[in-house]
Amino acid sequence: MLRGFLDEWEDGLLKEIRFHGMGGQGAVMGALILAEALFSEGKYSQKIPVYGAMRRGGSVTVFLRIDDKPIRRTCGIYEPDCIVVLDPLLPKFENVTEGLKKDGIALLNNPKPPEEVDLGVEVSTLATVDATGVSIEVFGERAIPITNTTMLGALSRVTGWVKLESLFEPIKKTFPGRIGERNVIAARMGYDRVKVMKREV
Amino acid sequence: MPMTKVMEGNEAAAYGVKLSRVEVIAAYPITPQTELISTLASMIARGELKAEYIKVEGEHTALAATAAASAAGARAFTASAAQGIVYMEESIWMPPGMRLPVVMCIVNRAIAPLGGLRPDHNDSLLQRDTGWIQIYCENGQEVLDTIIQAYRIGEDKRVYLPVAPCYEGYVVSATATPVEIPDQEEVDDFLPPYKHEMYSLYPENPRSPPRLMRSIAEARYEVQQAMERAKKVIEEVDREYGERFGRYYDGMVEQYRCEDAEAVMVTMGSITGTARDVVDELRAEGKKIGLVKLRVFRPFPTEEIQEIGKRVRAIGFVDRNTSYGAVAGCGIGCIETARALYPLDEHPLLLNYFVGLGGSDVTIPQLRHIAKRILKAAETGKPVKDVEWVELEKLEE
Repeated sequence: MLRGFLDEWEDGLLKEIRFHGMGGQGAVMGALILAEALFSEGKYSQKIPVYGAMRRGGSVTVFLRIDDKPIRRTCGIYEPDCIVVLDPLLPKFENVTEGLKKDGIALLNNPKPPEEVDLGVEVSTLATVDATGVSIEVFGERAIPITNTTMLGALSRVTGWVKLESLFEPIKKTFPGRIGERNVIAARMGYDRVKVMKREV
Repeated sequence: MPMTKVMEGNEAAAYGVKLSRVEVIAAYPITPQTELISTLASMIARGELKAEYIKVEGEHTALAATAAASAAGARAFTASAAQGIVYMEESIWMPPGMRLPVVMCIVNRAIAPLGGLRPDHNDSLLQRDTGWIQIYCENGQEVLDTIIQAYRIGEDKRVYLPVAPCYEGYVVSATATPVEIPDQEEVDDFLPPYKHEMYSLYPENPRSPPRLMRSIAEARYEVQQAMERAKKVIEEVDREYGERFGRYYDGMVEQYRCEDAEAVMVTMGSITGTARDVVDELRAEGKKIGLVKLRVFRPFPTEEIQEIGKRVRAIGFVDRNTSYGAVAGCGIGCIETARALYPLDEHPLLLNYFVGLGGSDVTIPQLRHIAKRILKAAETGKPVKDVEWVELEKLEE
């Protein structure tokens, strides 16, 4: 079994993740894949979309909750345990770290190692992966690089909240055929290439 | 075997329709209902659902066609939201008057202007006087289960009324959670094929319920009586559903941790889920707060509210709607609750809280504030305010 950098799953603890992306990068689809992967592990999951303008290029926020018991609350997530930012430019014009818990995790699509990234706030775990680079390698040049599956692979490694292998079936179900296989490769590359920096906050 | 999969509320609704073996669907797309009817259209295209899908030019026709199909003996379904419901208004009065048990999902969305794409309850509550049974669902699972129940309730010969399962757009419609899909055979067993005993469009023996009445007043009184009888039917159907499928929603009203409560808050729809967490948190601090989920708004659960009113010191109604200029500046739910409590010898305090208007998020701090205000009123016998617009208040910690 592949293990994450952080602690193993702790029972009875609600985890809240907030995805930030641009329309077309697959934030909504990615969160749904993660929800299915978690469910296949016997955990409860809940995906709530906060659509901006529902079109390519607009910014999109998605909430995802994980728990070992049914999730009842339906409100948005204001103090996430983890943020996942699918686009390297997004932190420049959107306050992606708003409300992030003090011991929270920030996972960014960024080609730089975490030591060289200035998020503007101190976070206890900062992780980066060049998901745009992976997208170009795996899917080729596109107007809007698809980064969701790479970020999910990285998320698995950084948080340990979901097993990498659990992502594969929902990915293949969402993208049938060769595209699915490529997305599995992208998830593996995200898992392998993510870099993590921890510090006391 | 029942299967569980992660799906959005709209997909859960589509499964509810499919399992009910609906025969005619006439609908016009509108956000946030679109995914429901596009999923149904796909199911029909793939041959999984044997139904006629009538593409119409607007909501007014959508419901007219649905009602006509029901009169002709088909189990019929439609769905809409906000502006679509308002545009449909003339048709909405048809099924109750004609005693047609169609089912229409209202995927709640705030009516514009002063609304966006996100939900409040004004679009469905606007229809409270029309003779539709209204059931408010908390999550995707309840939506699926309620649609199946809705046909059993509406098609019961004691009722013969249309039923609207209502659920909030985005918050329920586009939120994905694990949802159990019951077995088709078991649903078939629970929900026999549709047969309207009072209706016939056959020329040799034409008949319809309003025609059997001596006067319009009598026909209207019969609708009112059917609403009253529906209370028992809703309870019976939900109980049987619970026995068969393992999920019972307490019929008209669910009382959550109300046993020894001195204060209760009343919620409808998805807000209930968040309120459960808030009540648990305050209960852990020893506060005697309970939660009342008003699952059915029409028929209004008068007796249940009265029974609760006898036991508690303060009731706070959480209204996700406005009724501008209404009595004492109250929301629709609070007004109905007030009349239910009026005949009691001793009244609890009745407070009113507006939340989530125009689709804004209903948060944990807001519901905590509401719970604390109701508790304070129960304790002191005097409310801080009778009516609060919670988003405009400084929240209690």
